[in-house]
Amino acid sequence: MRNSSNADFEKAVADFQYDVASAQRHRDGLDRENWARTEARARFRDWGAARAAGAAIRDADLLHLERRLADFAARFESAGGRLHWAPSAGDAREALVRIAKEAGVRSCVRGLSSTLEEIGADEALGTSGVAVRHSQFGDMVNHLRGGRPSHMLHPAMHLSREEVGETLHAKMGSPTTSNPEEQVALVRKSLRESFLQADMGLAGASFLLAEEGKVALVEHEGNLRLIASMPRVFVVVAGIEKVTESVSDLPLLLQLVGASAGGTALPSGVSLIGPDTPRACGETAVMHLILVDNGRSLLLADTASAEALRCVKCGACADICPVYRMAGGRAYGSVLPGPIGAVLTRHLMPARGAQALPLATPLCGACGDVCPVGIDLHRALVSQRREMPPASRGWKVNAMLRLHERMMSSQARYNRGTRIVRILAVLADLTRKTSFNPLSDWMRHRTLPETPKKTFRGWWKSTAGATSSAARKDKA
Amino acid sequence: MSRKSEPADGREIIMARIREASKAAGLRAATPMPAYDGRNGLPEPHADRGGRISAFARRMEELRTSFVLCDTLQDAAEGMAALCERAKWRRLGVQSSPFVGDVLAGLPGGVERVTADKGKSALGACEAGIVECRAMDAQTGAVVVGAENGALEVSACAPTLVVFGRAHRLAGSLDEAIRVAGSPGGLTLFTGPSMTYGAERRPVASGHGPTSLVIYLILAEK
Repeated sequence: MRNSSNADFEKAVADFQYDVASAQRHRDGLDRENWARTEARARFRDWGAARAAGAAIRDADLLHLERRLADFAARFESAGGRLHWAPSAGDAREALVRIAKEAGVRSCVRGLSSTLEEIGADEALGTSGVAVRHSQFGDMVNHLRGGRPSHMLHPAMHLSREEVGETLHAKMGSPTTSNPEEQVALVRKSLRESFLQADMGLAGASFLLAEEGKVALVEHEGNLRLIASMPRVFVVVAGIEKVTESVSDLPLLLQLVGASAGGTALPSGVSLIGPDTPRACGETAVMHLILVDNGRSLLLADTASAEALRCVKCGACADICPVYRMAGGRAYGSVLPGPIGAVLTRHLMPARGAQALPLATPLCGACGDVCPVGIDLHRALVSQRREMPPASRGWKVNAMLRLHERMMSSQARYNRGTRIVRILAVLADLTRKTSFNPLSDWMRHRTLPETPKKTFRGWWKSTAGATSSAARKDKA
Repeated sequence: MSRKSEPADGREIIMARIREASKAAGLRAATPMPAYDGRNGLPEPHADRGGRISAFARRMEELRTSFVLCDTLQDAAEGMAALCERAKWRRLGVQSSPFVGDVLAGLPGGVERVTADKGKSALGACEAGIVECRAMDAQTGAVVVGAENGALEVSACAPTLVVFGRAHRLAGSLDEAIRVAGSPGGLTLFTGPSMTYGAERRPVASGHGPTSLVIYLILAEK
């Protein structure tokens, strides 16, 4: 279990902050991305209208999910595809291993996909004797280092070019270079044989097109096109929420994703592939799709959090989040770091220990504002905080919440409480560097605001405000 | 091809869960459906042909894609022959289509043409790939390539991808481009060469797909 508590998260954040250079690279990357995103959104005639339309398309898909899935299944299967329904992650793993065994698969090349991580695809294939190679550059480097991802689309963004060069040299025996172009060229050369020789290609999908029975693969590197076209067996693993009505929804959704994920008009590569797409250079090629529920249908019934299923996995909410900015992505311990990860990880990957993640947000609402499909992440996070088991919040937070609840539930207690809090604030400031102060960790880098001489109520009584409110009462 | 390898209950379980979730109607209560026109917020489409061509040329420059405007098919064929000479290409992966055959008519002798049916390894050893374009979008700079006749494999493998398209297939918006492209077995939309965001999240041109992209746009319809 990873990051099961607030304390683990805090420790991971402290480690991240001590690595000053990595933290700075992380923030620089976010600044560049947020700026590019702002410019890309400015190219729209009306970003707000486009975003509302994107939200409406995704909502309609979720409202008619059963029909969309039935339509997709009929088209996909009639085109010769093999569809596997997986109510749980375990079912998805079983289906994947069965496909590999039946087809005699010994080697597999895969793309970056949070759904593949969610179901534990690597472990399942590995224990069945299938060699798996990651093909997305950052994902591959991260995998070679055995590290956690720092972003859902850019898992190695926290690494320097020197660190990447050292990893490629140590793990792949390539010449040491810190030139990014040379590094990418080395990986391209090394992986090309894998694409040509692999028995199976494995990928996640960005969208499933119900009317056409096709999957939409969205990428920047071109690895997914190779995965889809070269191996004799092609397996896509996708959540049930990925289905959308038809290809006519894609122009809008893709432009929203392009602007939000990379600050571009479109992602650099989008492929629409189905079982009837000619592939594998004329050899017999089979396409499988594993449709995964694994908690999504439960999330669909959740009034406050169902919108999270609209997510198009652009990563914009993480990029803008002040906590993600200071904490780095690896502290979340999830393949989906950031606010959307805090909502989805608890439902889709509870074993990864994400109970405390809804606390990793200041509830400023920036994540919801930047979301290209208008997910009200603020609302979902508040709701998830309410549902958190008390133990996952830590004793300090629980004690303070209980005290706050008591204080706010009676006027007399509130009046007494405000007087006590004023005294405590002075004491807290005096003992800020001592272990007696329960807020000493927090106050190490922060100062409490200066305590005013009077409480608000005291000040109000001493001003004309009290006279005018008394007069209003008399009038009434 | 068998239809289902899975016990039917996987599907039934999921569909039953979705029906149950729909009864709770959390989503319906939370997010009322707004009336919308899916395109009303997107960038303005280009209506006239001249505007489309100049907008497309600008986008190609932004996307670091070489753009060549040709009056006729003959001009495009001559341009391709010259490019092949300059780059010293000896093996080209080619889509099997009459149009591609025409634009490659002027290739110098000794240049091998490899089609997808020659196999993956042969295709993987090619220095460039030549395909025909089903549609282009002036607004986003997307070039839509089909999957038929080996186009998917050729375009996936080639380090340099050369795409030939006709001006009447240049659309004013992505929506229109997808309609113009029609519905072959599969489609790929290229918006510039492949990019990789590796260390420090800095974009690096190149990845596993084409590291450079060349577009020939032919004005003549025949």
